[in-house]
Amino acid sequence: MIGMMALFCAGVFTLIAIVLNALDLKELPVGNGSKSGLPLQDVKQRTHIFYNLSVASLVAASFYLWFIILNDQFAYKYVSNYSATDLSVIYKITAFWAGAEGSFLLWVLLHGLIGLWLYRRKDVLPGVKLVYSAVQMCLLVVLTMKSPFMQITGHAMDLTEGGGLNPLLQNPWMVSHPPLLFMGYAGLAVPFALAVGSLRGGDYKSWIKKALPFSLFSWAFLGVGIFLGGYWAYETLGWGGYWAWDPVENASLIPWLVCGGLIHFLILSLKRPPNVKAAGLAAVFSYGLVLLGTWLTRSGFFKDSSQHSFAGEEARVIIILGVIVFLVVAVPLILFIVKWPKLPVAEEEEEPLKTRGSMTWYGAIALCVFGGVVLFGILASIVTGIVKAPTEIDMSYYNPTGLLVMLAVLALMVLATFFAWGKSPKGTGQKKGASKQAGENIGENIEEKAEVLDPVRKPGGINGFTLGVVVLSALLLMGIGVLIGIRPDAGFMNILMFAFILLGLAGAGAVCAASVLAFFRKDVRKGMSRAALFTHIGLAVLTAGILFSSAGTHKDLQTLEAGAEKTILGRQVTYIGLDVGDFRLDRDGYLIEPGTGEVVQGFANSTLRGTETKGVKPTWSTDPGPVNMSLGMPHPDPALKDFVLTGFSVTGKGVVIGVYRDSAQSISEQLFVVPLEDFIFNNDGNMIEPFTGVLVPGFANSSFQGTAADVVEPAWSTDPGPITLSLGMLHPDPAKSDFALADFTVDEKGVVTGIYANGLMEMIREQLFRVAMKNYTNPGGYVQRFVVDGEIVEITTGMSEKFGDLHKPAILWSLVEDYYMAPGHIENQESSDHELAQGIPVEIKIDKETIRVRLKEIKMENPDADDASAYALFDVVYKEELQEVRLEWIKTDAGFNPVPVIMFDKYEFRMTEINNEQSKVVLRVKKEYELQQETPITLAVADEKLTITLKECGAGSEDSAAANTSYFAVLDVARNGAVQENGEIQENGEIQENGEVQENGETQENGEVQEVRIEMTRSGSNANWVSVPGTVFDQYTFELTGISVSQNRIAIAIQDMNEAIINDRVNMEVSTKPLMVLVWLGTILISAGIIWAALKRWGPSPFQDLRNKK
Amino acid sequence: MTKGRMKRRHMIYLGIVVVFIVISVVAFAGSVTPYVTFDEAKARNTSVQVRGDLVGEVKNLEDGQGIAFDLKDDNGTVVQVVYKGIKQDNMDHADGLVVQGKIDGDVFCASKILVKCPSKYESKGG
Repeated sequence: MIGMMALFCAGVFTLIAIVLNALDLKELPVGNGSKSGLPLQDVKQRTHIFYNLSVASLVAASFYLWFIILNDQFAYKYVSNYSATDLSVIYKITAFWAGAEGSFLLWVLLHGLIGLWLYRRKDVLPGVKLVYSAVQMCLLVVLTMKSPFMQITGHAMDLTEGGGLNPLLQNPWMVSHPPLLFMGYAGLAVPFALAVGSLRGGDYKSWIKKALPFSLFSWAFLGVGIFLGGYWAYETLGWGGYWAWDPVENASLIPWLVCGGLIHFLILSLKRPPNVKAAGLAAVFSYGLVLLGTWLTRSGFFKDSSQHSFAGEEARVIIILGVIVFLVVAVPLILFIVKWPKLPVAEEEEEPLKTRGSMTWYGAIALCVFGGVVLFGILASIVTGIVKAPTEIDMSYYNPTGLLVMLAVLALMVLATFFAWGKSPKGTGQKKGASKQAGENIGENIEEKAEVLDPVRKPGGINGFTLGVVVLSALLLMGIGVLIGIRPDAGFMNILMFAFILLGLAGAGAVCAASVLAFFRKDVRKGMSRAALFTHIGLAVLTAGILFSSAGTHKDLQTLEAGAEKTILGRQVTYIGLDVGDFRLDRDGYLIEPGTGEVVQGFANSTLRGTETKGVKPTWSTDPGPVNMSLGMPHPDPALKDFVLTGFSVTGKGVVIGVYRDSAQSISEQLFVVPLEDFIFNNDGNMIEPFTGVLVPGFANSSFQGTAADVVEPAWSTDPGPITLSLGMLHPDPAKSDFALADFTVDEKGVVTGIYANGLMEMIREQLFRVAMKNYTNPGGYVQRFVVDGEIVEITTGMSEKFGDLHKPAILWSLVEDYYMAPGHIENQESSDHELAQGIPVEIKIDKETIRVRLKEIKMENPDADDASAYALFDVVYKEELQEVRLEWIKTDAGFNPVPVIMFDKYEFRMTEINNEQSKVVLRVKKEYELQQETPITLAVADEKLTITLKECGAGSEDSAAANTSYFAVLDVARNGAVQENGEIQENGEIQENGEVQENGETQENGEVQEVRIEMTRSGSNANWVSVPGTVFDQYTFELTGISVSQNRIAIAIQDMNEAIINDRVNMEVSTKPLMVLVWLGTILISAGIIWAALKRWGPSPFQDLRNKK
Repeated sequence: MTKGRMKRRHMIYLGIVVVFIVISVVAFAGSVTPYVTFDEAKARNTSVQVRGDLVGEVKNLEDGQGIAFDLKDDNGTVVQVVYKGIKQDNMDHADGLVVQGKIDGDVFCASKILVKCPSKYESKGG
C-alpha cells in the first residue's frame, strides 16, 4: 500500500502546488506588485516546496516499485506479470517499465524530475508552472487509476513465482527503448507549458527562446528511442524490417515530426521576430499528440490493427483518459484562438519565397503535414472501425504520401541551405553576407524585391562548382538506385512510386552535397548552424538508405535439407544441420559419448580448477545459503584435517569440485553446485557475469587442469579429422619444444585447452581445437548451422514454454548490402498420408529413408453386412528387399477400423481410406504406433530394440480427473531384450517374448525395464491438446498421440533425444537489402546532430539571457 | 507584397495541395483493407483481413514454398490459410491471428500475417 499512498501524496501535493501557482498568478500581472496579503516571495517558495514534495512522493513510489520487483513480491499483480524469481537483476530493474502501468509511472516520474528543474528557474512565469503542474495532475489521476501497485485478488494465482519477462524483451534495446521514449514525451511538456503559460500575460514572445533547448533535448531523446525501436525490430524480431507503419509506432512518430516543425519555428525565431502563432501551435500539438497517441494506444483502439496488442481498458477509464486528453489540447487551443488577434504575425508568411527563412518555414510546415498524414492514417483505421467495418491502413498508404512529403522537405532543405536569410536593403551585392545583417533589416524591407540566389556573382558563395556538385550528387544517387536494381512494377501507382523513389534519391543526394559543402564552407552556410547541417546530412543519408534498402530488396523463400547447398540471392548457402553435438557433458561434468555413455578417456576427472591464489574469497548464493571458500581452509571432516583446500574448480554443470591436499596425497571432492545460469564461461574458460562481462572473483584465471594421470590416448572426430592428444607430447612449436602437454580440458563450448609445462614449471595455456558439444547454454533451444559463402553462420532459436519459439535472424551485413536470413521452424512432420492408385508405385520418404510401395490388389467384402471386411495388398521395397504386405480393415461396433501393422520394426503402416470403385487407398506411414493393452510391440529405435507394453490407460490426469480434458497411459518399456514375466525381470535363463521362447537363453546385462506415464491434456474443451511426454532411459521421449479408452488402445510416438530432430529441414526466408547500413548511419547522424544542437543551445542558459536583460 | 504575387503564390500552393490530396486519396483507397469474416471475404474481390484463432498446427507446404494452417474466424467458420513465407514466431502462442489477402476457392491466400504477440504491455491474463 505504500506505493498507492505515495502516488496519492504526489497527487495531493501537486494539487496544492497548482493552487499556489494560481495564487501566484494573480500576484503577477504583466508588471509587479503584490496584491494580496501574502508576500510574493513566500507564495513562490511554498509553491516550490509543495511541488518538490510531490516529486519526492513520485520518487518514493518509484523506488517502492523497484523494491517489490527486486524482492519478488508476487502478491502484486504487476510483479507477478512481468517478473520471475530467476530473472537476472538487470532485467528485474527494467521490468519496471515492461508493462503499461509501470511505464506510465516512469513517464510521470520523468515529468516530475524535469519539473523540478523548471521550477528552479527564476524567470519562469507562474502561468507556465501552473500549466506544467496541471498536466502532472492529469497524469497522476490516470496513474492512480492504472497503478502498478494493484494486488492480486483471488487465490488462483501462484504467489511464489511470476510469469517472467518475455525473452524477446530481455535485451539491451528493450531496456533502453522505453525510458528514452518517455524522456522525450515528458520533455515535450516543457515547451507546451511555456507556450500555454505565456498566453495569459501580455508577453507572448519570451517563451520561445526558452523553449528551444528543451525542445531539442526532447526531440533527441524521442528520436533515439524511435530509432532504437526500429533497430531492435530489425535485429531481433526476424520479419526483416524496421518499421511497419504500425499504429503504435506511428503514435510515437507523429509527435516527433511535429516537434521537428516546432524546432524549426523556434529556430526561425532566434534572430528575427518570433513565430508565436506557429511555434505556439506546434508546441501545443507536439505534446497534445503525445497524449492523444498514448490514449489511443493504451485504450486498445489499435487492438485489431496493431501487432503491439494492448488489451485495452474498461470503458470508464477510456472515457476519463479521453476527456483529459481533450482538455489538454482543447483548452490551450481555445486560449490561442482568443488571443489570436493579439499575437504577432509571422513575417515568413509574407516574405518572398527565395529566402532561407521562407524555405525553412515551409519545411517546418511540411514536417507537420507529414505528421498529419500519419495521424490521418491511424485515425482512419479507428474511425472506419466505428462507422463501418474495422479496416487497416497498410503501408501502401504511408509510403507514397510520406515519400511525397519527404520530397518536398528535401527540396526545401537544399534551397534553404543555399538561399540567404533575407533581403538586403538595396537588393544586390550582399558583401556583408548573410544572416545577421539581413535579419535585422527584414522588418524594414518586407516589401522589397530581393536578390538572394545569385549563383554566379557571389565570390566564394554559390557558384557553378557548388551547383555542379549538388546536381552530380543527385544524379549519382539516382544512378546507384538504378544500378542496384530498382525498377518499377506494373501499374500506374507503381510507376509513380518509382518516379518518387528516384526523385527521393536525387533529393537525398542533393541535400547531402549541399549540406556537406555548407558544413565546411562558411560562405556557403552563411550562418546556418553546423549542427543543423549535420542533422540534415543524417536525414538525407537515412532517406537514401530507406529507399535503397526497401526499393532494392530481393526476397526468396527456400527449403534446405541438412547437407544441401543452394545459391540463394547470389550467395552459396549450405545448411549443415542442427547442432546436436558429438559429445555431451554428463551431470558431473565429464565428457561422455552420447550414444554409449562412456566417459571419454583423458577427460576422466577433468575439472576446471582455480589456480593457487592465496586468500581468495569467492562468495555466491546457492542453497542453503552463501558459501565461502578460501584456499588453505581445512577439510571439514575432522579425520582429514590435515588436508587443506589447494584448488577448486567448476564443471560445465556448475558442480564445484575442491581439491584438498596434504603433504602426500590429494583428494578431489564435489562440494556443491553453483547455479550456472547466473554465470557463463568466456572463451578463456573464465567465469564471467553474463551481462557485465566482469570476471567472477576467485575464478579469475581459473584454468583447466586435469589430474596428473597416466598417458592416455583419446581420439575423436572433429573437423578436420581425428586428433590424438596424449599427455607428455611435446609442444608443436619448435621454439617451445621443452614444453610438454601436462593436461587438457574442455569447456562447455567444446573448446579444448591444453596446458603445457616445462621443467621449470612454467606453464603455457592454449586453446587447441573445438569439439562439437551439445548446446548446453540454451538447453531449451537449438542452433542451426549454415555456411554462407564460406563463412559459418549460426542461427539460434530459443524455446520457452511460456512464450514459444523465438527465432533470431542472422544478418550478414556489409557496407554494400545486408543479407538477412530468417529461418522457419524445423519441420519434423512429413506428410504421412500417401494416396496409392492400383498398380502405380509410390516413393515414400520418411526419416531419411525411402520406401517404395505399390498397391496390388484391393478387396472389400460384404460392406454392409456385419462380417464386412476389406483388405489391400501391397508390394513394399525397403532396403532393397521386397515384401508383400496385407493391410486390413475390420468392422467393429464403432465402424470400420484399419488394422495397423508395424513394418521393419519401425514404421506403422495403416490404411486411412479405401476406395473400392476407384481402386485407390490412402496409406499412412508414420513413426506412430498403436498399442493394445497388454499386447507388447517391439521396435527398433536408435540402435536397440525396445519392447513396449501398454499397462493401463484412461481419462484423467494427476491433477484432475476431469474427462474430456486429459488422458493418460502407463507403459512398460523394456530394452535390450529384458522382458517382464510375471512381474519380474528374469536374470538368466530363458526369455519369453510374445509368447515364444527364444533360443539363446540369455538376458543381456544392460536389460532394464522402465515404467513411464504419458498424458495429453487441454485447458478447455476448445483448446488444443497438449502432450505431456515421458522420458525413458534418459534417451527417449514417449508421447501420447491418440487414445481410445473404450477399446483400451492408444497411439504413441517415440523420439530419440540424441537424434533430436529427425527431419532436419529448414524453411528460410532470405532477403537482401542493399546499402542498409545507410539507414543506421543516418539515424546516428540525425541523433548526433540534434544532440549537438541541443548542447550548443544549452550552453549559456537562455534563461540567463533574459535575466541579464532585466 | 503585391496582390498579384500573393495571388500567384496562393495558386501555386493550391495546386500543390490538390496534387498532394489526389495522390493521398488514391494511395489511401488502395490501402484500405477491411476486416471481414470468411463468409464476407468470399463475396469480395479485394484484399481483406480476417481475424481469427489458430486451429490445429501450422504445417509446412510440400514444396517448401510456405505454410498452411486452419483459421477459425469470429463466426466460427474454419478455412485453410496458405501463406508464402515462413512460420512466424509466436503463431502457436498468439492471442489471435490476422491474415490479409484474398479467398481463392476454398483456400485463403494470405499475403501478410499479423501475430498478436502475447502482449508486451498486458500479459495474457495470468
